[in-house]
Amino acid sequence: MKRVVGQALSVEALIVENLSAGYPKLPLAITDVSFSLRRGERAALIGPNGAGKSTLLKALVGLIPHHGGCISLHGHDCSTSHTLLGYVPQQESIDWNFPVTVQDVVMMGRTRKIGWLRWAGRKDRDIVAQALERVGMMAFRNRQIGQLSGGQKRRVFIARALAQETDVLLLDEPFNGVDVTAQEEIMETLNKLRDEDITVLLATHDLNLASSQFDKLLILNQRLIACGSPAEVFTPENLHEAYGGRMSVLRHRNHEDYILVVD
Amino acid sequence: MSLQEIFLDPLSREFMQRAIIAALLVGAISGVVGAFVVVRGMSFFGDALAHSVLPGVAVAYIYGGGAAAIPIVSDLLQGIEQESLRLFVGGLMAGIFAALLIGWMTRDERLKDDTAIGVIFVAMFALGLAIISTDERAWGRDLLHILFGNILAVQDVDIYIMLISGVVVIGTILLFYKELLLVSFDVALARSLRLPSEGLRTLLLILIAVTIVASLQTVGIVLMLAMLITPAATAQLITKRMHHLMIVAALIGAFSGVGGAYLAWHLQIQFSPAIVLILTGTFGVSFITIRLTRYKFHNNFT
Repeated sequence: MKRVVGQALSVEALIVENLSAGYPKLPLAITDVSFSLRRGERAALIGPNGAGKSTLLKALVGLIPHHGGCISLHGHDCSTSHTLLGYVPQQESIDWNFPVTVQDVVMMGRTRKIGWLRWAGRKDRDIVAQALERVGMMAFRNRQIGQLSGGQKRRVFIARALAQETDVLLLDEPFNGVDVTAQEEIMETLNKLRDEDITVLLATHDLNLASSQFDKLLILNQRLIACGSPAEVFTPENLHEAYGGRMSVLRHRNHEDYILVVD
Repeated sequence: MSLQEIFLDPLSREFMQRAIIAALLVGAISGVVGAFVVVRGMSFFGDALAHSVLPGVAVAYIYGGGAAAIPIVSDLLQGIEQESLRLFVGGLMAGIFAALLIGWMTRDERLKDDTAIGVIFVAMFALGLAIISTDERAWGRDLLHILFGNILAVQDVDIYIMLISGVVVIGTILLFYKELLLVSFDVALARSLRLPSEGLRTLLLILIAVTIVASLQTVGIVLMLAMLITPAATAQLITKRMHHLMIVAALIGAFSGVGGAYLAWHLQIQFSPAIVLILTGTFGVSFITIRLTRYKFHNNFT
């Protein structure tokens, strides 16, 4: 696999220390999570349903409050760095009949950068065009958002996050509810972004994909069970700790292990 | 009937001129604001808010008749000599109160939106009826005007109120357009960008309230919903971008307003139902045309 290995790669892009978070008035969904991602690194966040994957991502972008802990982006302090993270949420609450085109949606990522009482300028339109180009959706820029396939919709939302001028992307279950073609489309886009040194943290249920296509795995269940390269942490012990009874290890005749996870 | 009889004769009457201007203004403003009501799925809220202004209008109105129904509010309104302005301020106070109350009740999601809206709106309407029933003159005659509009009684000052409200409402929407669009489409992104999504939602509710109160004299409480929903619903059939939707809805609203005024004149029927029937007719024709031709405007209209 082609990788651009530069000096920048050694720089920490995102550092999370002792983060605990949860919805108000409910017990904490995740406690004491610490990890760091290097610039350009691609990490998968895995864990069973209800493990707190979405909660972690939402806490990182500030959608739900976090208690204690620190989030730092490129060495910036956590209170100011939130808006520098690009967040691609799960899309089940989106009204796809809404009268907006693809480029309107991507322009929404610019809202904060444009500022109050101002209209989008040429610079914003250029950045939107660039973002669309990077995810290969430029040709569809005048389509109404609902007229796209599942994979295309995901790519548009990735472009919207890129239009925030961020280099750290958080994606919440982008492979949920899309077919294999769409999944390949999204992976292709992510491969292209890796060449541009974009750091990605992606929550997923797909353990196969997570262990084969990512540099780093974060195994989560309320707390961070393991964090490291797939070769180090994708072990029956770690998975058993995360998934409990929902997984079993099948031993093959020639001593290869097969892990079966029912989630 | 000659063209002169159809188009020019009605204009020779001064009340008719004012009625046409009022219908045009109300149609255009409601079209723009209604675009947000439609894309956000707030029809029920719009109807509720229109009914909720009744107690405010009633207090302002009865004050003119001498009875002070609710002491504090009456005192507040006492300072306003001009009756039209007093009705506007009274209605607006009740409308904003209802909008904020409903917003507050649904904030922690323990109560469903439509439940809170249903509870508050009928209660406000009942309170309004109770206040009006303290005055026999109002109950007997003027309640009808408040409920169904009385466009022929529109004065110059009413036109000014509509104009100023329109400039304020549409100006505010232009100033906060990209933020309002974002919170309407994807509130999660708005919040992750640290935009005050609750504040923007409240702003939108207040704009809807202002539009409703400014339109009361023209269409009345009961038919107000059609002014908000129908032009935008028609526009939604043929547009795919929000600002196009708003412009088309404003045009449909304005033309239907004027068309309704002429229809009312020639058929000798009431103005507000005539306007609503024209609006609905436009919607019906558009809807059926698109269905029959199976032509998806949505794909091709820019």
